[in-house]
Parts: sequence; structure tokens; C-alpha cells
Amino acid sequence: MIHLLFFAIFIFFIFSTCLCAKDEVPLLPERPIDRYIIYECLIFFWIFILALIMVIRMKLKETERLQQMGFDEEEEDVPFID
Amino acid sequence: MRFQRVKKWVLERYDSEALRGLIKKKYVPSHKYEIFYYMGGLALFLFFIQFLTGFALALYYVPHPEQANKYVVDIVTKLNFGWLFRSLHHWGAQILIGVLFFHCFSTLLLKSYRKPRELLWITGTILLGISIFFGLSGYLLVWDERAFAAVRVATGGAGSIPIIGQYLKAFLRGGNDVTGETLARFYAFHVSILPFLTMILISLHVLLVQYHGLSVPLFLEGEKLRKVPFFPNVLYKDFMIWLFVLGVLVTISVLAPPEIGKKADPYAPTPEGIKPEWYFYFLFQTLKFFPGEIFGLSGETIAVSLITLAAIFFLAIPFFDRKSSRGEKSRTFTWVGVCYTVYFLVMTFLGFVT
Repeated sequence: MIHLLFFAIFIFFIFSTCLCAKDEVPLLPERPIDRYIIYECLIFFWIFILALIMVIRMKLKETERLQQMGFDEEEEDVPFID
Repeated sequence: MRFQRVKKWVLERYDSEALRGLIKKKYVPSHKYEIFYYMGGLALFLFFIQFLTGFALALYYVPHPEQANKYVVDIVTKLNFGWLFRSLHHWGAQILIGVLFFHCFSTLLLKSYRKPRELLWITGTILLGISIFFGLSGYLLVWDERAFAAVRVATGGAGSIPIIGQYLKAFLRGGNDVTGETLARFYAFHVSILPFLTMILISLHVLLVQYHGLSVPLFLEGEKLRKVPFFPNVLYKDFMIWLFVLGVLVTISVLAPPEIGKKADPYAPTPEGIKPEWYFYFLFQTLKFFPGEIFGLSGETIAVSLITLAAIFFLAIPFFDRKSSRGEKSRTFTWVGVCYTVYFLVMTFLGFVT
């Protein structure tokens, strides 16, 4: 399924790129396989970013929960154990 | 074990408790307009990306009129990921300037410039001006026909400023016209003078933010607002926004790499349909509205003089808006803020569509 999705995105990019006028200077690697790799990397990059955002969001929620419970506050006059 | 020794070495020399105390004491007010607080951090993040990608590009660029364009083409076509670095640098600049304008206009409309934050406003506005000049100087480095014509127009416009205009034009161009001297100067501005000024101003701006704390909108002053610790709550939100913008930046950079035109030829006629970068549209459109001559005076000189006065007034707004400084509602300066914002947006839109 995921391969089908990648292939569909690849086809979309290839066709959308073909519709544009050809640049005098190639601004991206020209070989289709290189472009495929670039677009695939872009998808993985977004997956990584979204996963990282979700992890940070979960961490934030947990921090807020602990703060609401007052666990982050330091007690005064705590005996110092070294 | 080694880490413990390094930690001990540092702690013996530096008072980390003071820093920890400072971090713990930093709180940010929480309210429905808090999204505007993240724009400054986002701009800082984008500046960082610009510095990083700029370092990489500077290693391979040669600011010589005969070779500059060729080296940019080589960076894009021959270097591994050269195309990506150039594209990130280009689009990073566009997004950065957009974020800076947004940050500036939101500060203006929320009147966050009011006492005691006048210096914050001034350093921020100068940073915006420097960033625009960063854009212009970087634009010429490609040394293609489009950049050449745009810089010729921009520096020509600077020449219309009364009294200092001609000196400024000669200083920017390094002569009478845009030549290799101009390229050398713009390169010096772009990689040395402007980064130096930017570092100083960013440091000052951030220090001032730490000193004054974040401003609360005038209409929320006096209300009991919840305060959220900066570390880690606000920093986590900052990270999420930075990651999302990084994703958008990389996507645009991959899907729409900036084009490279033909090598600039000083003797060739100006190509048709030349437009400056989008952040110059409001100036470009303003100049277009003025006729060539008004009461025997040059229309361009009058337009540039009015723009200069408007920019000086913009910079000095905190000193004119006395009511906001006293914590009172200032309807006049709300309208001033709205006028500046709407003018910029409408002129930029017209610049796009015409």
C-alpha cells in the first residue's frame, strides 16, 4: 500500500515537472531515479517531522500535567543529602 | 566518568546555579494572542538556517563578474546537495522576511513598542531593514540579467533620496553604474558587514526581551493572566513550530528551486517584465503611482522622499504614541498601525497581480 502511495506521488511529481518549461540550468538532478529518491526522502522527512512534533506534544502534555499536580515545584528546606 | 570530570571542571569555574535560577524564573504570560510571541523565536531559527546554508554556499562562491554566475551554476549542478543548499538559502530568506514583517506589524498593532520597550522596537525595525538589504545584496550575487536590472533600479531609487541620495548611490554601486565593483561591495555587505550588524542587533534585541520580559497587549493589561514557564513549556511549542516551518521550507526548496538566469551583461537592454523581490513590491508600486514630474520636480524624488519620511516616522512611533506609553487607549496610533499594514498588504498584492 505504502509503495503504491509513493509511486502515485512520484508520478504526480514527474508529470507536474514535465508540464513546466524546461529550465536552461537544471535546478534539480535530472535523472528520474534521482528525482524519485529526492521526493521519497521528502516524504520520509515529513514523517520524521510529524513524529517528532507528536513526541514533543506528548512531552508537553505530560509536563503540563505534572505542573498542574504541583510536582515540578521545589520544596523549601529539604535536607541536603550528599 | 569523563562526563562527570568535565561537569566538575565547568562547575568549579562557572556558577551554574545562577543560570538555573534565571531559567526557572522566566515566565511567559498566557492569553489568546500568545501566538505572536513565537514569531521572534521563529525569526531567530530562520536566521540560524540562513547562516548555516550561507556558510556552505560561501565556500564555493567567487564574487567576480566573469565567474560569479558560472560558480552559482556549478554549485547547483556539480556539487552534492548544492541545489538544496542554494534553494534553502533562497526560500529561507523569503520566509524569514515574511516572518519579520508579520512580527513587526503584529508588534505595531498590539502596541508592544510602548514604554519601556522603545529600544526593542528600534532594534527590531533596523533588523527588518537589514534583512531586506540582505535580500537585495544576496539577489545580485547570482549575477544574472534579472538581478542586475533589479539592483540597477534599486540603487537608482536610492539615488533619488534628497541630499544624500547621490552619495549613497555611488557608495552602493562603487561607481556610476552597476559593475563588478558593485558585486564585490554587495558580496562584502552580504557575507561580512550585514552578518556582523545582525549578530550585534539580534544579541541586543534578545537581551532586551530577557530584560523587559514579553509584552502583554494593552487591552489585557490589568487582567489576571496565567503565567507559563518558558523552560520547558514555551520552548517545546517553539520546537514544534520550528519543525513545521523547517518542513515547509524544505518542501518548497525541493519543489520550487529558484531559477538562474543568463549571465548579466551591462550593455544588454533590460529584459521585459522585470520585477523586484516581493518585499520590494510596496515600494515598487508606490513609485509607479507617481508621475514623472510634479510641479516641475521629479516625481521619483518626491516619492522616495515620502517613503523615507514614512520609514523614519515608523521607526519613531514609540516616541510619538504617548497615550500607549501611559497605558491609555490610543485610537490614532491603532489607525496608524492599520494604515501601514493595509498599505503594505495592498501594494504587495498589486505588485503580484500587475
